[in-house]
Amino acid sequence: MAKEKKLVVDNLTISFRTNQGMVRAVRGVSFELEERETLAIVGESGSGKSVTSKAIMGILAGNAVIDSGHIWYEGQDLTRIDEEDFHRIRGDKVGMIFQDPMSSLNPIMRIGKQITEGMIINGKHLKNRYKKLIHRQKQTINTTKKKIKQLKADFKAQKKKAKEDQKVADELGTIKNNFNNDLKKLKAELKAAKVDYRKAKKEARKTVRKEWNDEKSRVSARIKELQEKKREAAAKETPEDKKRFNEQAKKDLQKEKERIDKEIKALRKRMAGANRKNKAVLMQEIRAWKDELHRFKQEQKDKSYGSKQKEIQHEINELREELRRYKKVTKKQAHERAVEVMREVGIPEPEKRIRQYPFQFSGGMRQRIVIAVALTADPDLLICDEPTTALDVTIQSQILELIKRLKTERNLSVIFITHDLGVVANMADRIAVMYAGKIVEIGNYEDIFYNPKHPYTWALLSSVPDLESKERLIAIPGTPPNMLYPPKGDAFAERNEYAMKIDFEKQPPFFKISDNHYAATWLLHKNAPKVEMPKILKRRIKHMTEDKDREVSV
Amino acid sequence: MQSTETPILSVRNLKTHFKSGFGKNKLVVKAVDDVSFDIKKGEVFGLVGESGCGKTTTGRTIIRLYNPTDGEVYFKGQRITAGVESLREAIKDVKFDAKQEIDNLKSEMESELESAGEGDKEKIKEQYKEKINKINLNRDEKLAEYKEEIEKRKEVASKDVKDKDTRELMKKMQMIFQDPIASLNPRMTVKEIIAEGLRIAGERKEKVIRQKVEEVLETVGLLPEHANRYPHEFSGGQRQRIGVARALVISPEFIIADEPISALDVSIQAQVINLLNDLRDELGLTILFIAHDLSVVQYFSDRIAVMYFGKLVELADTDELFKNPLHPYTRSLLSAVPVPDPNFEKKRQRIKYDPSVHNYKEDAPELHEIKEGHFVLANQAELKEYKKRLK
Repeated sequence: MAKEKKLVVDNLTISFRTNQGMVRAVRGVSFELEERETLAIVGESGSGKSVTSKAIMGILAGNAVIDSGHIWYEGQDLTRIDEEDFHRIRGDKVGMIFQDPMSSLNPIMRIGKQITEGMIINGKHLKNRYKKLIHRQKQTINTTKKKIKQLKADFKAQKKKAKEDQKVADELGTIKNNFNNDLKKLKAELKAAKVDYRKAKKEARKTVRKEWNDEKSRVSARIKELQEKKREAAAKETPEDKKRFNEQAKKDLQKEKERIDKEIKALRKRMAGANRKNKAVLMQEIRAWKDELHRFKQEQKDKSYGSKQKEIQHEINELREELRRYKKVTKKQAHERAVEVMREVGIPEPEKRIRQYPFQFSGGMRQRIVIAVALTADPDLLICDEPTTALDVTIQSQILELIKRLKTERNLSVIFITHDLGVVANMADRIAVMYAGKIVEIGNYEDIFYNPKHPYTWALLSSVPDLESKERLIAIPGTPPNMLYPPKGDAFAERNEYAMKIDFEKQPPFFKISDNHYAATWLLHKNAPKVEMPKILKRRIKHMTEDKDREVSV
Repeated sequence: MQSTETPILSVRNLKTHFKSGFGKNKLVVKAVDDVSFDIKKGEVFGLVGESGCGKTTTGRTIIRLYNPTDGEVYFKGQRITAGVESLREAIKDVKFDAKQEIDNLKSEMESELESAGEGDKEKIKEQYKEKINKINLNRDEKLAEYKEEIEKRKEVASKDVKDKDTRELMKKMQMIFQDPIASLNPRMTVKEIIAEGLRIAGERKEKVIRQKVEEVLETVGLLPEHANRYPHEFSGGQRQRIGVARALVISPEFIIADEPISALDVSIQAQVINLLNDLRDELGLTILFIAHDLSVVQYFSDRIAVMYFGKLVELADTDELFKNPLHPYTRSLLSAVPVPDPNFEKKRQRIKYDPSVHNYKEDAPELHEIKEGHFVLANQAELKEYKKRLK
């Protein structure tokens, strides 16, 4: 499938400056993310998966250095653009869900404010309106595409089955005919939907533009009117009026000044004989009188010639501000949108709960709020950094279902970071296994789970007990290497029972297994000895692949 | 597993309630509400449930980090802790009943006095006085009995400091905590951390202490030279090993492991589980394993109890529980476990648990033994249904 590349990470290398030296957190990571795809990055803590995602978001810590590499997103290199440009991407196009819902929400801010904060700063009313208008048509296209995919898969299965059963040729023919007919129908549907979509887009653009123009012309007409009024007011007041007015003002000011000076003088006289404490009090009084004079001057200025014009000018300014805001999101709209998003992520009674504080929510609900915050700006790429690690099983599966649903509804591309392989099995289309700052194996979920090639993937897979295993678990001995001194050869060699001499000396390149499946281990070299994966894993995979239709145990 | 064997730990109607606020704002959280189970010698007993269901509180109450509101815990046949709430309630009830009876008698007496002649009045009064006295006497007797029991229980609750036997007994019970980073004092060396229990238990000889610490470090797979380092120098898995070593050093027979692996990385989790498994085989430990990760619990435990909002909803052998989960909450919990198998995962349907499916208004639920060793919380109607499902 020739899909569009959403995000391309190319040979990314990131280090952190510390007192002990440079910590090489990410050492040459490359991957691509396709449109509407979920890529899972799996690895232990300290393997650099979070650092990679933070680099994509542009929120690396201050002591991080991007040594080399690029992150391409929509034609821009995210490692090179400056902070101002990043504002346009972060949140708006790339959203992130953080690990710990306890610490990623501000405890002393109502959640409503936290959800609307981004919108008010960055929200675009017109864009949202446009998206809303074409939402339905977009959905139709997607569902039709999905149907076609399903149909193709069904046909393949039918064909296979027919071949296995050695059916007669004409039966195969009918199946083919049926399939072709159905496909034609669906393709026609898709075409129609696309036409619809284009039309809707045009129309939506028109409506939005019309609304905008209407508003603009309404406001500008009003402004014109006001300006006319202002001119009239100016015309009414002749130069003689102005002169007389100013003279009067001068006289008034003089009078006031004299009065206040007198008071101050009296106070100064009293101050000469006063002790220190009283002096301070008197000083204060003098200051008060001075302020009074200042105030009088200000008042006179406001009242002075042309005050009517000023009022009108003020009104005009307000109107202009209103027009400016029409493009942006107002507080009220932000509030409405927040309620909408909260309902979407499954928070009951959002109108009431929007006024509550984070501590009044349970862990799962808090994670939903974090997701809501990420969703308000309608991103098309979502990075989930261990979103369920702090939650227990039941809540975890709720959150995973939510992310999955949102992904299909909003056509998101997702980067999903976790160390739990069970979670990955549920979510991912493709999986990248990371170890010590490098991707060691990358492939489709079937490749990784049913045909893993790298010893580290083996170890990861066999170290989790599944619901059937009873034998001793294979633990990975030792701990990940210290990235202050990255190993010369394969980073996993020291913990690897299959390690060869070359593993300690030279870093393995990526060996191609299939089109989408690569692994970096010397075991795949043609001169390497043949090594089988651990017995437990082999048995388990056999069990899993043979028994595809086994019932869910509950 | 023989059921005739006396259990190493029995928990009977254990309740731990937390109270906060006064008057109108008074809030009682029933963290553990009427929980009973037995743990046999040498087995691993898994306690599962979602966060906030009271499983940790149960563990902590057993080892007496919390005082129970009510109920009793027996360890090796001896009562080690007991709550007095139910007795206090009983005293209130007795007082209330007696008062009502007396009031009834008094009103009866008055009505009789009105209808009776002059001469009988004294006699009737005399009669009733006698009756009331009897009730009072009865009441006082009961009250004295309850009060005595309360005193006894209180004594049990404060015994460990005074009584040598209880102290010896409590030494046989140890706990491993959840977070190996937070539960080790960063300002103590590993040796000090591990030896702390020994010193409290009365060991004074520096030589013995060092020897024991080194021994236990080796048992958990660390090196003796690690003893002089500080916790921050170790990785997560090693730190949890230190936590295990601390629990093992005074050779306990029973260990409460409170989510010992949920704070660890996957590859390290397997190390710790294997360690616990080995220790259990070598030292014959009995373990109460508290966790919310069902696949690990299933791998590790012999029997599993499922808790929901302070109540035990199901208890059975591991295989039995996974084969025939009866209570809807257990089923929902099992359906939520992610499995590292995409084909299976894509088909998995999560069952939602809705507590309102139970109709407990008329018929309150009880823990019934539906099959040998398989208990489930149900009322009579549900019990019938479950039985049908088992066949």
